[in-house]
Amino acid sequence: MKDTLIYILKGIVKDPDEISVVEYDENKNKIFEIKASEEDVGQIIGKDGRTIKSINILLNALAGSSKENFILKVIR
Amino acid sequence: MIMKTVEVSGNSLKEAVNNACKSLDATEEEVDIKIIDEGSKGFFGIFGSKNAVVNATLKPKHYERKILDFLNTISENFGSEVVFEVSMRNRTFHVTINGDNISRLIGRHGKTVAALEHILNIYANRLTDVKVNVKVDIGGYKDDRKEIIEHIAHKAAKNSLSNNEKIVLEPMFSYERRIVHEVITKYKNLKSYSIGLEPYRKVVIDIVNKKYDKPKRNHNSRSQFQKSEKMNYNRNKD
Repeated sequence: MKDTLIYILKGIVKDPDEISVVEYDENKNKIFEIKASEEDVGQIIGKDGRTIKSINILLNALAGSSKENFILKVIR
Repeated sequence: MIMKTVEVSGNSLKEAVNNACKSLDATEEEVDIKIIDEGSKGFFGIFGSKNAVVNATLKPKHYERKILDFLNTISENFGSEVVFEVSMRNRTFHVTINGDNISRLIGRHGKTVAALEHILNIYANRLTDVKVNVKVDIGGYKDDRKEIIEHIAHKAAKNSLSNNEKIVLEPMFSYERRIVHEVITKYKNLKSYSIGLEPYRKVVIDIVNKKYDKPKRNHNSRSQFQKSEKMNYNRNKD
């Protein structure tokens, strides 16, 4: 799932090379920490968090039946 | 539509075309080539040689392929097979998705389709210099939904007229409410408006009473209501 996330992110940002994702588990949740260039942070989150929410919804749909939740954190 | 164009040179015509494709990340089939200068090898390839120059413009095909690649890569982890089709008309990419298990890609109340559409919109606009739109349809979900909503609207309108009373429908999404409003405009004696806060905003169908109808005042109070509603909505967001 991490690869898919990185692929989506690289598709929507200005500096694809700046993207890095760290994955870890916490309380049965899967957490992805996204690092991006300062400019792209806003793009990834989107207006009212719409884009990051959309990415989360999409990831959960793709992962399907496995019931773990994804939490996305965007950091600079 | 204005497509991305580059001017590229090379030692030979073939090399110039190759360079153009490379810089646009496209195949030869996906570009229109206009020759500016055929170039010349010169005398024994040493004296007076001139580079070939071409203008390369991307065809819609290129963008369609790019979006297709994007979708196929994303869906690698999906499990069951999905088939994507992308076609471009005017400035809109129409994406249709079919396959087994696609209900999972539609999501509850079409939540996942909307998410996918949003991401594809950003992706497509990254590719092009002009503003483009992406519309996603999964297994005819949108058409089905539209038919159902229209049916509900007509039924409610008839009920409202025969009982002479106003009817409040179930909560709907904004595009669904719009379908209802469109249907109601066909009924001369009915009017429709929306009440409540997202995501529980719903349509009210009411009888037009000329005596008491004050459209101007209604309009003002409505816009004011919407303003405060928007503020509330932002505050309530998680």
